Amino acid sequence: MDSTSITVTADSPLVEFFDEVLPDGTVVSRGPEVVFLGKGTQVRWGNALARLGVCLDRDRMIWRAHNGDWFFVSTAADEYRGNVAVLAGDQSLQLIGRADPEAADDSGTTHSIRWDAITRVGIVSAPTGSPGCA
Amino acid sequence: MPTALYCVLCDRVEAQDSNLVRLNISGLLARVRPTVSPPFPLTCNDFRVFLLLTDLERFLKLSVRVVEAATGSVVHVTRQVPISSPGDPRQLMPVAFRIHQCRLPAEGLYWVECLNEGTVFVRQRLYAEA
Repeated sequence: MDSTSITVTADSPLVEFFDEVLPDGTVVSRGPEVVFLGKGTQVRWGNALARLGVCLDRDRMIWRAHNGDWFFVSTAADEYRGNVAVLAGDQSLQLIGRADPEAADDSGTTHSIRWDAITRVGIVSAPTGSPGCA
Repeated sequence: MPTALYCVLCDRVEAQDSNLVRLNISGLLARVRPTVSPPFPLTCNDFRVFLLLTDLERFLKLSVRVVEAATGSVVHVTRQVPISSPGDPRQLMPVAFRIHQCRLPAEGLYWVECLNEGTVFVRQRLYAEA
């Protein structure tokens, strides 16, 4: 193989994916299922939610909690809970508590939380599970 | 379509300990040669396709495939990876696909193609020579 090396500087850390072929021929995918690229707090917390297994709609930047789970988002001053999280823009995350998280309406209680105020995000599993957090 | 500032085949991509966004890319790869007989099919156990992307769309579905140029046959394909890019589209985003056990059936040129939503946006050459 021809071999040399170079160094480049990017704007965000490297994300690597690979599909591993097991001895029996089965292919196993490794690496994150969903990735947010970029820099800034919205990307950082978007990836934190993705690592927790939070689903992402294809067409809008919406995460919906499933099976009765709830998201929590902490700031230095407060902790908010909701089951729908919306990437409302570069500046803030909207956290909505809705009777049916799959509903497409605008019902529910909405909190708008600045990305740069967030100190922790996580999921509270229903009904008695312990929180997973990042 | 995203723009690939770099599309590099290599052995390794590693972040520097002191700076996670400064990446060392080593073992640049343009040609592979078999070390056993018979020479083909040749199995490339492990290499990476490094992409430095910009002009990002908000949503991407990236994958990589290896195509035998002479026949057009796809000899290796990865899964599609969903990626969101909510920030500045002009940022430089590093992504690597690690290719395992890529089986090259014959001597010749192979295209390593990077796709978004199934459409090729950049490709790189890989020569297999006996």
